[in-house]
Amino acid sequence: MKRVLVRRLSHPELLPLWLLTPAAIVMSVILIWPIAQGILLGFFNTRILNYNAGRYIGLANYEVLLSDPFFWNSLKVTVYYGIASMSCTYALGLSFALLLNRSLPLRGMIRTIFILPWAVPEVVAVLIFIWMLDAQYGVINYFFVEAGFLDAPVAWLARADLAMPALVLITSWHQFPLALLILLAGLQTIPREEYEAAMVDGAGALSRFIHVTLPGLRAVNVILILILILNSFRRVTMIYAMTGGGPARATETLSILTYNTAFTYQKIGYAAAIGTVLLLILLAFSLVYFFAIIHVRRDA
Amino acid sequence: MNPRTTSILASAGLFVLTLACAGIVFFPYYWMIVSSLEAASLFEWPPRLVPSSVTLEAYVRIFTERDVFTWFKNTAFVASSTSVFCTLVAINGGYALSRFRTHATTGFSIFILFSQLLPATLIVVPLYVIFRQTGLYNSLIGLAIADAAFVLPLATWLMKGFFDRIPVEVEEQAMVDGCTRIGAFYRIVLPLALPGLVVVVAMSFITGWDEFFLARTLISSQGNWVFSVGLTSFETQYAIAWDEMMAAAVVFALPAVLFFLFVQRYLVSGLTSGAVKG
Repeated sequence: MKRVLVRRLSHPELLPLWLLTPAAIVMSVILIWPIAQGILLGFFNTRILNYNAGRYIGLANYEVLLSDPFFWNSLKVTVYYGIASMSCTYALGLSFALLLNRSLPLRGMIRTIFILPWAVPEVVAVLIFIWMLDAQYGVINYFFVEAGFLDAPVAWLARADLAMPALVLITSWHQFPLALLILLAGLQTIPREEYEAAMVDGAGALSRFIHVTLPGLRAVNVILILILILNSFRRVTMIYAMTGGGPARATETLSILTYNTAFTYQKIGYAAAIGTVLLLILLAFSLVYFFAIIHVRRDA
Repeated sequence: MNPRTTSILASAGLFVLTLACAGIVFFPYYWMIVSSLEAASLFEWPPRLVPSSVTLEAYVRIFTERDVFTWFKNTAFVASSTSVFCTLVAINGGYALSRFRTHATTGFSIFILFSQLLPATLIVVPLYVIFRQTGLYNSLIGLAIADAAFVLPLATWLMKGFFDRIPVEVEEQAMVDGCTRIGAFYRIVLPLALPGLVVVVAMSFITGWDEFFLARTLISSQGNWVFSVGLTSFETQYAIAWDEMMAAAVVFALPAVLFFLFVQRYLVSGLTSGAVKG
């Protein structure tokens, strides 16, 4: 009897299942189960201190959400941060990819320097920039004053209008290597003949960029831009360590609002509702992502 | 000027421009290192771009007067556990995804893609409660398990890519010679995938090493702080000790950067090929 069971369980067809089991268990316990609980918690008025006393309140959290100015502010901040950090990261990545996509002395070494920001832990990147942006002794203020952009040093992280540009600056410094590498790989798939043909037709550098390079990067662009936006919507560590969402909620993206609502204001149920809205936004974006991939593939 | 001279000048100009950009990109690194070594006060205006004289005092202070050694130890433990745990699970899953095509593997692949969309903050709220109820809260092992789960989808996917490059004939030959399927996998295929294995080990180690958000939420007592959490606690009553903070930042960043440089070539090709192929 036991032998039959063993033989059945060791049937070759079951092997992939056994191999996947450990990963499936870990991911279910740490990722799926909490996500399911999180979505469920959105319908409860649970607070951290009396976790077991939470009551089912239907859609009440979502009703509150719709008239919560902090939620709408946060949605605006999320979109602002997503578009601004994506644009800057992409622009840096593309410029440097174009610079590196030529034969160049010391190319390997220069490429490594360009990737270095990505290697540094996010917390370290944040601390370096907090120090460089220091209101009194910050070296960035020094450069800006010397260059005539500023009359006097400013407190970047204490001003509601300047905290977001500072956050976008550090995000793009830390993240552009990803864009650089993907775009560099994309540039290398564009056949050299297309450039040669354009040059025979008398196209200048700018015209070659517009008519050969950009169309050649289309497939990569669609995916890269969506990855950058999705990452910005999900980003926590960098924003949390840099500003915690402040000043005056100027950098409080939906991710940070979820965290602050749960752990600062202790409203777990309400936080879960906000997090669920974020999840829905991410899902909607990913649908766009998949359709974009299918569309680009069909064109190719 | 003839066209040849123009083109040489243009190349030289672009090279200088590239170097200038590399310099700007590297500047935050430079500033971190310089600030940690500066012997005079950092609180001066204008800031000294080149240090007046260099000292290792800040490094000595953080190891003698701060808990840096404890943080280093805790972080090394969490990162190694994350790495071992994640790699052991990922090699099996990655092999299944690479060699079999069943409903289970298809479903799992879709879940791996889906998991890359999950907002970490929504996971962490219930996870905090689960950890409190199960006694995993404030334990370094618990933190390592959570870190491993977060990096597992990517690690499994990378491992699948590395197995894909090994021809199936290798196992078939071993099975003809009398190996079982699983024996062929562990004894023949896995050693061939060693370079890929090293990448996954290093990548999960780096993730566990750098991680801040889960550690900040799931660890409470100061004795269990990891480096990233300790590092953000450097404020004193009067001013932030920036020289110490930057020295600690260098000590913290160094292993991560070295590991990264060690595996960057493989990691980069693994991460970007998917995006380029679509």
